[in-house]
Amino acid sequence: MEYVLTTENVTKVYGKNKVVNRVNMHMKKGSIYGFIGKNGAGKTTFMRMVAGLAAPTEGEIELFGSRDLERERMRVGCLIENPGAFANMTAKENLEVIRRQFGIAEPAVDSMLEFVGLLEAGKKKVKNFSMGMKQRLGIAVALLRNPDFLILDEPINGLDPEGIIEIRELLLKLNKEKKISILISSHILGELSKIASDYGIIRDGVLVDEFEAKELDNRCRRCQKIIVDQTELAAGILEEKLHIKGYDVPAQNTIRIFEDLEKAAETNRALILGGVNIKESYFAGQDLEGYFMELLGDVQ
Amino acid sequence: MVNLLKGELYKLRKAKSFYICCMVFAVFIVMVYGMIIMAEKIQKGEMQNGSYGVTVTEESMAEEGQEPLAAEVSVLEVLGQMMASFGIFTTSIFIAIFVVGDYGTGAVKNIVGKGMDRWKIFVVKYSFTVFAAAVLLLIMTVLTVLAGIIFKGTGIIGAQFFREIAAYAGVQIMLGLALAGIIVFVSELCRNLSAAISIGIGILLFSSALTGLLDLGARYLLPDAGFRFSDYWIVDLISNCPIKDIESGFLLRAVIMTIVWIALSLAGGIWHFKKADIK
Repeated sequence: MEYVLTTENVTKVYGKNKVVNRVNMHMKKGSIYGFIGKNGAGKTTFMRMVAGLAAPTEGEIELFGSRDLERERMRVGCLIENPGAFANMTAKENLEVIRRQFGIAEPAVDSMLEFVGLLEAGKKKVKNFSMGMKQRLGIAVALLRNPDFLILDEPINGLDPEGIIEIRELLLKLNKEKKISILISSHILGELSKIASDYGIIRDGVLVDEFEAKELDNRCRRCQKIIVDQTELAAGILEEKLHIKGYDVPAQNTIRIFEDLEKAAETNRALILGGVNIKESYFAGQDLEGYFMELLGDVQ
Repeated sequence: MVNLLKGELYKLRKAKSFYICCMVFAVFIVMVYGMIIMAEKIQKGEMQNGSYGVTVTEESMAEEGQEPLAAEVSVLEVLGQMMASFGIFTTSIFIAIFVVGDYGTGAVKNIVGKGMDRWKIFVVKYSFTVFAAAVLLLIMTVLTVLAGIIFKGTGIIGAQFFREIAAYAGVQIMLGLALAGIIVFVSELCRNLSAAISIGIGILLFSSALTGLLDLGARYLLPDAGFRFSDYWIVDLISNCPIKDIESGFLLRAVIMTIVWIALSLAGGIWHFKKADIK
């Protein structure tokens, strides 16, 4: 597996406050990694460390499989917190500053403005931009050096629904057409679930879980959850007597059945008659938002 | 580094604060000469004393055969006033805006962590800002001289006139480089516009009082050493720079202290920029 970003026990301490605590992140090449956490969970601090804006107190960061971060960060573009743009300049002038700072060829500015849909902004100063325009400019700034890896901190914050769709489509285009890997944090979980291929959940500075989008679907699937005393016996009854193949055993003595949910009573009866003691039997499964909230610690 | 310099040059070209400072210089210089002309008119009895807030003291009032005030006050003296007060104040404010602007807008995040050593980024910012400050002081010098020629007539022009202006402005701009470096360092430490401006102005206004106190202490503790802190502090050197006949001793001290203060402020700035996180 090729990774664009791996971290090993990355920690950041401010005074006595451990803002990021031994984070081990694994971000695959070509993925869109949704980084989820509440305010103050440590998302931005972690992203700033990856982007080279803050130094980790402990731990190692590897970019593109290398620890030569100064060199590898040439391939990273970032939009962290706010777009780094001069308010009294136009979008073009802002990109021109960066173009000159990095010795990028001149046509790059216009083509980037066109790509993010800011070409028509013309002589409008950034201070007069809408939130969506500012975010698009921030993305243009991050993209100007043709990065392979993009770090975006809350890029859809404060956008109206139209702006959110624009940014979503832009990110999908970048990922599909330019093969750019994207690490993105957002509070709008439903929106994130429309683009992310992988997720990382951070809570109080600790990366509590990392999983793929398909795994998320599985976790959120509606199922009959049964807590039994004999898992193997129960599994045998499900397969042989009830011909149920769609089930799994996520934990000891726990079975999740995804098929024939309308026949839950019959399933319970068959298990009991087969000599299995059922301690609990209930329907489980949530929408994405509910599942995330549970992971983030908002739901007890 | 050359590319970074090109970026800074572009930012300076687009920096409103730079042009505003130039305009403020022009307006202030015209006002200074205007006041001198009004004072002369009061002296001659053509205007009432106190008109438009301009008051001429009795000692300065014209007596028979006394030179008119406008003829008495030379361009060099006006330049001296401008350099030692208004010029460095305005330039310090510009420096704070130019340096802190990168943090306020977040533009510094566009270059830090992008494959360039942090010390190089700071050295470029420092040197370019110091250069811009020198340009501002030079513009102020040119404006003062031009206004002087307009107000006092072309009769003042001569080799001696330009030699004196060049010598004085040269030394003051050199000292201004070190002061600019100190303000860049302060701005880097604060990374906050109001704090950078306040501390910068505080340094210009009150540091001489502090060195004066230290001088008193040194005189008390080491009465025979003849050591004075104010001989080595850049603000005092700017204030005490003679407008004519600069002695070689002063010049040598000015050159050495310019180098020392530039080295100190640059080293301090690099240390802080390398160490501190970018918010």
